[in-house]
Amino acid sequence: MWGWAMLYMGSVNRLIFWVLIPLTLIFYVTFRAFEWQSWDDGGRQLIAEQHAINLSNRDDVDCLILGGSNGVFSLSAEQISNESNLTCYNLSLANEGYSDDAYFNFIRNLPIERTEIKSVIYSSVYPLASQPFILRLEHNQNQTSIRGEIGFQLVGRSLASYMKNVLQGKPLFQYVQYPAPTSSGDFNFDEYDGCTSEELRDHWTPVTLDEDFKQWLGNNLMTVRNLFPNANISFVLPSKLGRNMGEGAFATFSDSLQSEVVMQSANYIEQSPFSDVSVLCDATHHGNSIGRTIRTSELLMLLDIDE
Amino acid sequence: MKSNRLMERSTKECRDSLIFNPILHVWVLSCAILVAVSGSFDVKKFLVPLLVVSTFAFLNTAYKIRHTQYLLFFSISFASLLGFTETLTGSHAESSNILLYGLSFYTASMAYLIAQNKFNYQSILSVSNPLLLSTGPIALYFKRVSYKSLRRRIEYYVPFIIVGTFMFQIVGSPLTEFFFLIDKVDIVSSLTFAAIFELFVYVNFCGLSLLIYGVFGVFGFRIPLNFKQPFSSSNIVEFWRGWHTSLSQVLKVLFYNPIRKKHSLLSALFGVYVASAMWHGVTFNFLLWGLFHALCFWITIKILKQKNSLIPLILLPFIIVIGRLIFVDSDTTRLLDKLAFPFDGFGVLTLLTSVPLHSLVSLLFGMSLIACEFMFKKTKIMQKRNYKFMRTPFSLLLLCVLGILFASNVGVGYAVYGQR
Repeated sequence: MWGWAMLYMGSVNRLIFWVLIPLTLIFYVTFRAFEWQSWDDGGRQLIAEQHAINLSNRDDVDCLILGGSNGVFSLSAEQISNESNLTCYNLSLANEGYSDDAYFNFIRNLPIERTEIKSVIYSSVYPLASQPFILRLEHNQNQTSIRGEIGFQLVGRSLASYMKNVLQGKPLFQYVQYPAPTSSGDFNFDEYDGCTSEELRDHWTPVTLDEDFKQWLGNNLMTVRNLFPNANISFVLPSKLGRNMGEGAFATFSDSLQSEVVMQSANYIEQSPFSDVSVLCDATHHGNSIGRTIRTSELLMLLDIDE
Repeated sequence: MKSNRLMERSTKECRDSLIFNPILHVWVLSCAILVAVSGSFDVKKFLVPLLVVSTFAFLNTAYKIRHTQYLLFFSISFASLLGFTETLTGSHAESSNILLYGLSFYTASMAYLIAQNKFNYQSILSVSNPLLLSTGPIALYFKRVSYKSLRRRIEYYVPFIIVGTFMFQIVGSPLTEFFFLIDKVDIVSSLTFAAIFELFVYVNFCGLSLLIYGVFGVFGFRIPLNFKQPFSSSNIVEFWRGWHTSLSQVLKVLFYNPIRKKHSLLSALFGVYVASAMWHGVTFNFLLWGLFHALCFWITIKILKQKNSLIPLILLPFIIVIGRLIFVDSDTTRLLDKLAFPFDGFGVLTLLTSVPLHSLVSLLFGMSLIACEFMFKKTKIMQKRNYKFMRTPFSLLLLCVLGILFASNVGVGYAVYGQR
C-alpha cells in the first residue's frame, strides 16, 4: 500500500513538475503577449498630434510650459496668459513623454519659432519621486516613445488586478483615455471624468541628488537651453500632496537642488504642497480644475518674484 | 623533429583546453544573460574585472606578495572612502564608475582564494564571472555538479530558480514602495521600517542568490549557496550561519581564524565585524553596526554557554531589527535621531496602508515565508536549511500560481548587493 502510494506520489510530483508548472508559466506568457497586443496608448498620440495642430495655428506664443503630467493637470497656460504679459502654451505630456529623447524630439519637430520663446517653465516631478526617476532612466535607456509603448514585457499590471476588473464587471483591458488638449494646450477637465481623489495614496520620496540625477538634470536643462536659446528658463519643483520627508530635510534637499539648477543658469521655483485631496484629480501631483488654478496662481506669483 | 611535434601537441592541448573549457562557455553565457536581462551592453563591465583578476593571478603566481589578500579585501573600503563607490546600505548602490563594476565581489573572492593558496589562472573565469559579479555570491568555489544528465540537473536546480524568482520579484520588488519610511525617526516608524527593510534585503539578496545558484546548476556548476534559511534560527549565532554565507566564509578565513589564534573571542569578533562593516562602506553607521553585532554575538555565546537558550531566542528579533536600523541609514544625524528612540504614536500604521495593495500583499508573503522558516525549523524538511520546504512540487506549483497572479511592475527590482 505504502509502496503504491509512493509510486502514485512520484507520478503526481512528476506531473506537477513537468506538466502543471510549465503549463502555468505558458499561460502567463500567453496572457502577457495578449495584453501586449491589446495595449492602448490612452490617446497620447492623438494629444501629441493635437498639440502640433494647435501650434501650427498660433504665432503669438512666447512662453511654454514643459514637463510631465503634473504640468498637464496642474498648470494652466490660459491662466498664465490671462494674468501676465506672457502668451503661454502648455506642452507638458503625460510621463514627460516617457523618455527624454522622445520628449525633446517631439518639441523639436513642432511648428514653433523656438527663438521667439521668451520664457520656459519646466515643471518636472522626478526630483520628488525617486522610484519613477529610476524608471525614467530605464525608459531613457530603452528609448521609449511618447506613446509609452515598451514592447513585450514579462511583468506589467498584475493578473490579480485584471481579475478584480472582471469581477467588478469592467472590461478586461481598460485604458484611461485622456481628452485632447484645449487651444492653449491645457488639460480639458470638461471632457474628463477620471478624477477620483478619494483613493489617492502618496508614497513617493525625493531622489538622492547623486551623479545620475545631476547628470539627468544638467542634460535636460542644457537641451532646453539649446532648444530655446533666448528663453528665460525656470525649473519648477511641482506641488504634490505632502512631501514624505521632514520639513528640515526637505528644505536641505530643496536648497541642494536649487544649487544644481542655478549652476545650469536656470531659475529655481519651489511650489508649496497641495492642501488636501479635494483639490486633486487622480494622483497626488495631479490637481483638479481648482487645484490647477491654485497652483498656477502661486506659480505666477513666484515667477514675478524671480523674473 | 620530435620536440616540434611535442610543441605542436602542447599548443593544441592548450588551445583546446581554452576553447573547450566549460567555465569559459559559462562565462560567455553569463555575459549573454546579463545583456539580455539588463538590455544594455557595455564591454567594459565584462572585460575590466577579467583583466584585473588576470593581472592579480599573474602577480600572485609570479611574486606571491604577502598580505595581498587584505589589500584586496579592503580595496572596496578605499573606493568607498574616496567616494568612487556607494556604500552598501541596501538602496540602489550601483557604482557610476564602470571601471569599478563588481569590485567588492571579485576582490573578496581573490582575497579568500589567495589566503587558501587556491588562487591561480584557473580561477580567473570563475572569479570574474559577470553574473556572479552582478548579484553575488562571492565565488569561493566553482565545481562541476554531480548530476551529469540535463534532466536530473533541471529537476534539482530549476526549483531554486522558481523559488529565487518568487522571492526577488514577487516579494522583494514591491517592498521598495515602503522605502519612504526611512525618513521617519520615531521609534515605531523606524523599527517598522527596519523590519520591512530586513525582509526586503533578505528576499532580494537571497532570491537572487538562489536564482543564480539554480542557473549555474543547470549549466552544470555548483557555486556557494549564499543563504541557508537564516530565520530558521534560535539565536543570532545560528542566524549568521545562514546569512550571506560566502562573505562569512571569507571573513572567517581572513580575520576570525588569524585573530582567534592570538587573541580573545571578543577581539576576533570585533575584528570580523569591523572588517565586514568596512567592506559594506566606510561610514559611521557601518562602524556602529559592526560593533553592535560583534557585541551581541559575544553576549549570545556567553549566555548559551550557561545553557540558557531562551534569552538568545528573545533577543534575536531585536538584534536583527536594530542591527538593520543602523545598517540602512548612512545619514548620521537621522540615525542618531532614530537611536534616541523618540515615541510619536502609531501613525506609521496608517502610513503603511498608503502603499499600493501589491506591496501589502508582498509584505504578507514575506512575513509568511519568515514565519514558516522560523516555526517549522525543527521539522525534517528544514534540517538541511536549503529551502527544501519551498522546493517540493506542491510548494512550487503554489509559488507559480501566486507568482503569475501577483507579478507586477510595482516597485523597483535591483540587486541590493550587486554591481558595486
